[in-house]
Amino acid sequence: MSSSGLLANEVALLFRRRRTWAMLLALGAVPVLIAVAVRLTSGPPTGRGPAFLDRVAGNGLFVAITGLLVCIPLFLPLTIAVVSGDTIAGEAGTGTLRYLLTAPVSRPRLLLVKFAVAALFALAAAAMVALCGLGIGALLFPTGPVTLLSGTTISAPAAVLRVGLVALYVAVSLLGLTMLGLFISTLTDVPVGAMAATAVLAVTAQILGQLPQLDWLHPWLFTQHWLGFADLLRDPIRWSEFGQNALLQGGYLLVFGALAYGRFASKDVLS
Amino acid sequence: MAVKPAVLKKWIPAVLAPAVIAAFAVGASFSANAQVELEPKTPQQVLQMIAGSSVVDFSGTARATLDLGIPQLPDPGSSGMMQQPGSPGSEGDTDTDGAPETAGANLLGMLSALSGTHEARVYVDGPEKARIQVMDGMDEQNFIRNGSSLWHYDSAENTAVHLVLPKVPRHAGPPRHTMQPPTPGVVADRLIEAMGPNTEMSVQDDTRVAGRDAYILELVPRSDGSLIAKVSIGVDAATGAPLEVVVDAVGQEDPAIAVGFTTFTPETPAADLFEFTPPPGAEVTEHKIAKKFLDHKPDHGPRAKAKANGHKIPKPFLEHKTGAKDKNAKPGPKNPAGHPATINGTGWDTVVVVPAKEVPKDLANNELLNQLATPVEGGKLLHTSLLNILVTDDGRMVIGAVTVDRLQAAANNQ
Repeated sequence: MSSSGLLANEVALLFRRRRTWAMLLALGAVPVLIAVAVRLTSGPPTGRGPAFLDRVAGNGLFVAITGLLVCIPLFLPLTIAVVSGDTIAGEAGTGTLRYLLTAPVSRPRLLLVKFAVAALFALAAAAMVALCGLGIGALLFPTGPVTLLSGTTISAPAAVLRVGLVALYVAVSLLGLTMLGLFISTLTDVPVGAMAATAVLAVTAQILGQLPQLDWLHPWLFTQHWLGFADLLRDPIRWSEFGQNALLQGGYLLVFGALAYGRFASKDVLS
Repeated sequence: MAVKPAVLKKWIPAVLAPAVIAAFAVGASFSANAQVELEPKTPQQVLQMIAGSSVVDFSGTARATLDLGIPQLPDPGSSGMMQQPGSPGSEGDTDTDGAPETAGANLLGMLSALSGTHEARVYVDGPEKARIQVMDGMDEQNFIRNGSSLWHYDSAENTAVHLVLPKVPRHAGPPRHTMQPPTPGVVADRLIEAMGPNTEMSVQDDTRVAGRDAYILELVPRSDGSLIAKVSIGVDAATGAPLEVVVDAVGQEDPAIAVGFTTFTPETPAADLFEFTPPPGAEVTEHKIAKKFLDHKPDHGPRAKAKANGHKIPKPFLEHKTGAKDKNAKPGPKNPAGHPATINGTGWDTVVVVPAKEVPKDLANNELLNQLATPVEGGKLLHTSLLNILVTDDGRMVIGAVTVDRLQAAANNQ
């Protein structure tokens, strides 16, 4: 099977699964819930609740930003943990990994394809939250020019572009965790174990990031820049956070990709 | 059990990847601190470079870190500061005289809230146009000056404050007395002004600040009673612009105050950065400055504005603080007649004694003060790593950047 054929096959497999759609729909429900809650009540007083929540009533486009902000600490990492933890361990657990490898596919290539599919899911998840947020926001609230954090007002299309950038930032932020999950998935034949371990790591890293005693460690945590997308809502856009985040996630890809290769290539696939 | 070499080979990337990253990280920090060789200069030459610096157009990212060794408080400063815009009169006195006594515990609460690291983007185009964006997590504070128009925008509250400066003849002196953002340049200016012959000066010529070759001017007080261990000023070798000010306190490993640029570009920023129209939906407050007020104190308006609205902002504090130091150094002209505080000592050892009747009555019973102050011989001591404040039993207040012993001696000499 050619590599692209394998990739297409795996993508189709992922998005044919009912579990994948259940997770995407659950993610999409978050901004919808936020929007409905704000619509039904008079809205929170200024400066309370999650950042941007107080702006939702004035401009529906902020539903997408608020949704991403609410999803990134837990909901998005959970779904990433499920997908990436399942990559290898799931196949091993159901005994299909052996058959997959009997096809003329090298192990590194299979790893790469598995990661690409999981990364695609990360992008889809972030896009789902953003799109559902934009949709429900436009439906329930007035939309129009958006005020950035710096007090500058930009047009609605430009604001939608910024929401897209924020979604992209969030998707990039999740890549390190995706590779981490893939590595853990090569360690075990029990997919649930890999999923749980990945989710626990995501939460643990965020807790460690809260402890001021560990500030020497903070720049190395993959969760360090997760909330840094506010810099994309300033005027002019501040790209340094985006760059640092991409660099950090790239480092995680390199280290845990190499570890996953080492483990998977030397593993005895018995089932 | 022997492991097959073929299996070992599979793990090579896993070993190499962290090694590559470690090498990259070390290389990056090495190139950031790379040894630079600049032409050696004397402290005086560096001071001249600063004074002769003609950089009036620049943009950059500034970072301020404050560590005064006071405990983190559950945001007591905010409620205190909130009341102040309502009473502009007393606020004005506090600000212009730079006297900590009226600010008292509020100042302390503010310091606690300010402690930590704050980041801001700074854009300056000549003395008339400036914009400071203080980034505060998911929020941002904007201070914009464009000619006579001053704006403050707070994204958290979605409020804007507008001030229009009346046109006054510019007799007030150098432009820094008008609204110049308190960049490291201003801070450095004030510190240098306060320096006397009682300071040991030296120059380091092998460092980089904000990624640019820089001289570091080091000022060490010739005094064993001072709380200030060292003041370091980073000066851009190419333009002479001060890029960084670091104040080290005695007995504290981390700097007490570190204000500096992390990036610096001596080029004119885009003009539209200085154009500000309040966003629709924002609550806009218009302020007018009385003309006679402005005639007396040309620098009052912007500073009062920044202070009244910006309790999260490190810079007004820094200006405030160095302003106080300024006063200590030159008590004559800055101390209005009728202000009965007395000044003991000179230079770094200056101690200000405020008589009991000038100390606000409620200060002695202030809860915050009582929590933070420690009882010492002859009164209560408020200790920060750069400043000691002694409230004596008979109600006087003794302030100085010196050890407790000096404060007590000054109090007893009265």
